[in-house]
Amino acid sequence: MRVGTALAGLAASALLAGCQPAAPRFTEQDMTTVRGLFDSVVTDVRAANWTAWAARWAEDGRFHPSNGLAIVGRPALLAWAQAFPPVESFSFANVQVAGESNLAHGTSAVFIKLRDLPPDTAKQLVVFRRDTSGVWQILAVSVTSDLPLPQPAPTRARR
Amino acid sequence: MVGQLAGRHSRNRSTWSSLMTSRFSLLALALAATACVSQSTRHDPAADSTAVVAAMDAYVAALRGNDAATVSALWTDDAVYAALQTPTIRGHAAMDSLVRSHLSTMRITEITVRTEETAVGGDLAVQWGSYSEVVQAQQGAPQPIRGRFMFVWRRQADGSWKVARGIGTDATGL
Repeated sequence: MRVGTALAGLAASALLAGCQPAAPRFTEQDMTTVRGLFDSVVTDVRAANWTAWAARWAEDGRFHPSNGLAIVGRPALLAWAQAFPPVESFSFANVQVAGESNLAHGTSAVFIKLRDLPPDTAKQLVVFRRDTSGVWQILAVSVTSDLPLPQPAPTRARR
Repeated sequence: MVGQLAGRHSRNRSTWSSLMTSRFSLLALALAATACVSQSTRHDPAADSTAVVAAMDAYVAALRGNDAATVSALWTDDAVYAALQTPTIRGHAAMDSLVRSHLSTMRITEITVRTEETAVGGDLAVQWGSYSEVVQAQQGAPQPIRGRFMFVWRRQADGSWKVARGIGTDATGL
């Protein structure tokens, strides 16, 4: 009987071991970490520390700026940010985060004032991914501005 | 006699105990196997990705068919949609109102959605890509629009996928 029980236990263990590993849970700690990334981005942008900012992105991260073309990959993101006009003020508000397993998402309002440009208010959706070493990175950001769409440049009437 | 009875009782108890142990072992094995099957089913990224793409196809087909009820039903109860130049839409009732309002005053005569990536993690999936559409209001000329989208899908209790978070950007002028 004991041998039978032991065999059954062994079989059950083997069965469980053969299963796919359970996906990691999204914990309170993960929530805090992901929320902290919002704060870190604000710090990076205000300091124009674009290297630190770019390092928070996944290697294949992508940014959809409002009314702009997609920027894909960390090097392209860094180059894009380094060409950015000086930032006079920048903040997020109403940050809301949720997650599941290795993916998380957050929404927030965005306030930004660039030199020589009108202040912009926008909304963003951010997706985060936990990499194989357990670090949460920014996978994708999409921003939509509350400002009116830019008007096409006026064309001169032909004489 | 007493000894024989005692012995028989002992043997019966031993048989019963053995039987119960076997049943418990079988139950444990069955549970283990069930847990294993359940786990691998829930976290099959390829199958989940296919299901999300199919859900997006249904979404686009509903838009093309001016089917507000189906479009609305594909958003979760706690949906958040960051719409262009309007306050953020929160909750299914607000989303339903937006969809019905839009589709009652305009018609999407053409729509193409190109999904560039679908990433799955547990019961969440994120999908992004580009879209182009031609919108015909009740008056005026058809208006071509193109832009980018990002949707966060969440698996529902019945296994279906619905949009929990969405955002769209306009790239018409680019």
